[in-house]
Amino acid sequence: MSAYSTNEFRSGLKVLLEGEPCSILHNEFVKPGKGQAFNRVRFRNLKSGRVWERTFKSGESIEAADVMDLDMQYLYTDGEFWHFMRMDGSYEQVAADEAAVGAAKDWLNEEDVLSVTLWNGEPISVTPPNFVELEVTQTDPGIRGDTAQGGSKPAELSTGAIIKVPLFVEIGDVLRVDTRTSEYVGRTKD
Amino acid sequence: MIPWRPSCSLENLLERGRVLGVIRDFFRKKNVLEVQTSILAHYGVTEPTIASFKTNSGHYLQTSPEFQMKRLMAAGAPSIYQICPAFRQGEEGRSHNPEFVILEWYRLGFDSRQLIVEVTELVDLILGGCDYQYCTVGQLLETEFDLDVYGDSDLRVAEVARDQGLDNVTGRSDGVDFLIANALQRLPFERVFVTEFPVDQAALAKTQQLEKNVVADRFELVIKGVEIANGYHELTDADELQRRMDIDNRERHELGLPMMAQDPFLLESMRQGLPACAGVAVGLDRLLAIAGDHESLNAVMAFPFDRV
Repeated sequence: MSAYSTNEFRSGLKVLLEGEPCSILHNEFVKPGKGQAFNRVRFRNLKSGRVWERTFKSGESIEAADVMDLDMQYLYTDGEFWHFMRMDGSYEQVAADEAAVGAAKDWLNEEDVLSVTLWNGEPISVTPPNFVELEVTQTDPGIRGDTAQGGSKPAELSTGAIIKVPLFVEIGDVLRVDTRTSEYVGRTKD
Repeated sequence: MIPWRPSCSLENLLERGRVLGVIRDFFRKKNVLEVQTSILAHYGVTEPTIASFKTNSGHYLQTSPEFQMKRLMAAGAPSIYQICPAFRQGEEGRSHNPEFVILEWYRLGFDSRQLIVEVTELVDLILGGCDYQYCTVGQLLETEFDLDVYGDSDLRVAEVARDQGLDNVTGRSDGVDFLIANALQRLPFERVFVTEFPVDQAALAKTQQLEKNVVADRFELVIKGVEIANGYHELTDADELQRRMDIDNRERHELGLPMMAQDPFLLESMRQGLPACAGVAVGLDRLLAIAGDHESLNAVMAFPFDRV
């Protein structure tokens, strides 16, 4: 297994910390004039998303993590696992559990392509595209012509996600949604 | 594209030139003599935490002008100052560049307190006036971590350092260095003098018995969490210097670092007699970065290491 020394640390580097795959967010060299040099490092745990801070003596090494982000197509869920297929022509499939899919499951639309993070070949997290288009499956009746500002109501989308939408939105509309904020962006043209 | 342009703005280049003038005026008024000593020498420093650049010819780029300036003092020079480059291998970051500019001065007959006052006068000229706080290393670590740095066991130091997020603590000085560095970054004061260092961090300062603890008569000025100046009431005892250099080399051996020959010129000059004096080194690039409120030294250096 390869390792990285503190002088190779840079943001985006994938490493193992306490057995967990992490990505380096920030690396700062700290050295008192008369004393040991340190690297103060912030990591994001790629499984939990939590941010950790650790300090290493300069020159120490930590193990590299075999982590890669791949574009994959979402196929379907069997209720327990969410299945994704590689886009590199191999048609190889992986199954992600609920912990890996996390909040992204609200935005998984069959056949959409999104980024799946694999650790030792196993999916550990799923990043949906910034914008997805989803159909409204449930909402109060729309008020035609009311496209002006003001007023919103909840709407349930085909994935089960519930977002706030303007009053004129109707069942069957396809909406563009910002997955980072869960906000309605607009209706797609029919 | 090859980044041939300087990393600092023209404005900051002008500011550096102006500040150099302010410093020279300051010392001229005080009758402190400007000197120049050599950058390339046959000997480096023994301190295990400082890595000298060694040339193909087996010589060393100086990590500080300290040794040669002390030899001038031993030879009868009056109070002196120098503005010169210094080199430390592997030190790169927002507040570090392997080559940097040191402003260093020695004052005949001064003690730490007098030198601290002079440091504040100069810093006020460059940054503008401001209050200074004073705390000992003991107070600092007791307040921040409930640690008695002079009395607590190595085990306890290691435990506290680990709690604070140091990954692999192997020795007492590791832990203490780390805790001091952490505590300094959290201090709520803009300008702080830290004094009374543990004896294993004495470097080239005298030690003194204070109540029940022996401490190093050494101070650091920290501004906005960044170490700006390091000063000593200078050690004048050649035998004690040699003993500390021996300890340095033993530590180097344990750490698998190259042993460093002890500078015989410095030792001999101290045997002849270094007059009682206090000296301080200021990181000029850092001071300029703080003066201009810049995050990185790159903003005030013409060509940092990645452009030369």
